[in-house]
Amino acid sequence: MDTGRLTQVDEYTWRIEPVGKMRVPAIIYGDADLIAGMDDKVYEQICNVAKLPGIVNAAYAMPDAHWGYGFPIGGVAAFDADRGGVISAGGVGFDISCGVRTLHTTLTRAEIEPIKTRLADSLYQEIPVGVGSTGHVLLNDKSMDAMLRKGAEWAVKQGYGWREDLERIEEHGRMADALPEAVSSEAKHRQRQQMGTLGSGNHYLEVQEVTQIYAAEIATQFGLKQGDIVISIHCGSRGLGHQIGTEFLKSMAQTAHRHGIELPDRELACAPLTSDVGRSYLGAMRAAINSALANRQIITHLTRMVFERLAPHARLRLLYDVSHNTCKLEEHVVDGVSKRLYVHRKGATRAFGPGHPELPEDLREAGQPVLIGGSMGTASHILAGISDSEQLSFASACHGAGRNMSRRQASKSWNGRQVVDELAGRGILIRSPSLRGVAEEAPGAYKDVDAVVNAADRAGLARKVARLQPVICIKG
Amino acid sequence: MTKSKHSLAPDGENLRKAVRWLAESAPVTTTTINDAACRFDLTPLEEEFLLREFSPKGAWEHFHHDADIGVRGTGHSLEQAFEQAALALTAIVTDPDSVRSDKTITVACREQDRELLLVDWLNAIIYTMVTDNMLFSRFKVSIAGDKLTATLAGEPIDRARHELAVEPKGATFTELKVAQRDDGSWLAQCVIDV
Repeated sequence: MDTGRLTQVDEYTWRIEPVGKMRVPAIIYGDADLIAGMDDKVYEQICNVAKLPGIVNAAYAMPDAHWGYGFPIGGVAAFDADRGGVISAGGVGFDISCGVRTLHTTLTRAEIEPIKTRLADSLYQEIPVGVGSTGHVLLNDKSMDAMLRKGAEWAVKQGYGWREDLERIEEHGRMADALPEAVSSEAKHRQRQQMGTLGSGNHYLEVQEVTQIYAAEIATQFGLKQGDIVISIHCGSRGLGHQIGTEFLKSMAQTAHRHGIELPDRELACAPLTSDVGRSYLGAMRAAINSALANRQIITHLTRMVFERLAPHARLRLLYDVSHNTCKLEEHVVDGVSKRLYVHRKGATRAFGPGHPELPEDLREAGQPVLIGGSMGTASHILAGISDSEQLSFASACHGAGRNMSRRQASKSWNGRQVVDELAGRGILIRSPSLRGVAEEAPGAYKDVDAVVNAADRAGLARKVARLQPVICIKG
Repeated sequence: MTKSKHSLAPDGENLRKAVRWLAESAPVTTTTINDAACRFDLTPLEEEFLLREFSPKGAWEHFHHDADIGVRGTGHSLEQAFEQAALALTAIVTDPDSVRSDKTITVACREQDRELLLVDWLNAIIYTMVTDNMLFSRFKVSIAGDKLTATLAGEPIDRARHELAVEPKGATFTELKVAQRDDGSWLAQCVIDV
């Protein structure tokens, strides 16, 4: 993207003044290099988001923004239902409630080294991963609806994980006001064999080492110290979310004109929050959020079973679980007035600052853990929400690195076997059903996650706390 | 699923004339075949035969998108462009040549808007792939008015034999285009979320 098209507000903030049908400005966060590396489509898409009815303050793009469908990935926008605000299936994404959860292990790198290979093999064996993999948990109609209504809370009740986990999950593990009846039978059918599966693409389970601490006090509050081993799980709502996204993208595109919405582009399909389609999508999307939370909860249980066998003294407590493809009703202060707004975060992480009432008590002083996934073989980061981001981005930060190369280019540039061997040489064990998948996800195909996280930190969206390096990666 | 050439070759005098005329008016394009069909009053079956025999074979490709993958199918007819786009979809997951076409499944969708019909078609394949745990390598599409019916031929996913890359989540409206090009051929494309 040509930075000359933007007004630079400060080193990490860039602005596009409203022109034409834009109702609000667009604001992009990032340093000059990150912005220059963004596709022109990000400019086009974030300006289109700024044209949607009921948008509040501005349309925001995070430092890892890239070309998505409808909204850019890394896009944040809040809508006021009382002022004709809309909800957009493309503003959430097909992988509804895709997110990251990180678990402590109480183990150190030295303790993990002797069992590393067995751990990698066992995790790969126990956790379903990759195209066509099926889960061990099969749901009937009744249990499907219970799962969609209660999320991780349902999973814990079934024996997958601990009661205390729920406090460390957004919405306490259960997204309220989910409507299983708004979820089609096709979406439920698509999910039936996929509970407790990682999926493919950029989804993974990683065993990681804390290699750097940036903010000692917050790290202590998060329970992190250098040399600790943690586990991060990155996946979403699987087939159920994909099908809901598919169905509502179309119904929103078809009904937009009936609601008097002029779509800048059909891909921006949306519906008024107060319309039947809008309400139905909200209910279905919330059910998909519960599906994602239950899914990560089941995978957590499977992970604990493996550790129980290979490192029985380890205790895998949940640090936090945060989703980065959602639309959530939140309280925000706009022009000095508190309002309830529907905040879309597509490839963006909620980052509530210290004192936020939604945070669990023992994290309230530190701020919300913001979990930023790397790509296979590269670092991940843990940040903490800060109060300033409330005004900057409706309390949102980046979610990852973003690709800088298409899958096709990547599979031509790397050989999967070589990538696995090279990473093994650096002490990182990869287990994946697909060497082509590994090539497409090669570390070099992604942007530099450190640069993205630095920009988020400097822009004031969240604060850097710890850097994690992969030790084992189970890849879809 | 496919019939032999002979069984579909109509044996009419007009067709023979059209073939001679086309041979003289090379290069043969979709447009010249359409001309020949008018000039020699060919039946739709005869025109389809010519399109299949003379037109360049359909083709598929992936086009660039930052995070996801664009699929593009081209062909001498709307149906062939849809079939080729479907092959491009399979190629996101695995090499279509590695997929046997042992089992056939029929799908149907109805949509007036051709572009939405493409999205429905690709989503119907994605849904069938996931719920039947299959991959497909041959597609036969018929479109009549707003109705698409198709036969998918494929086999169950074999994780040992198929080199599986990534699962498609859904077809999007991004870069969505279904159109007839200047040379008479058809193009069908969109971005697939993976």
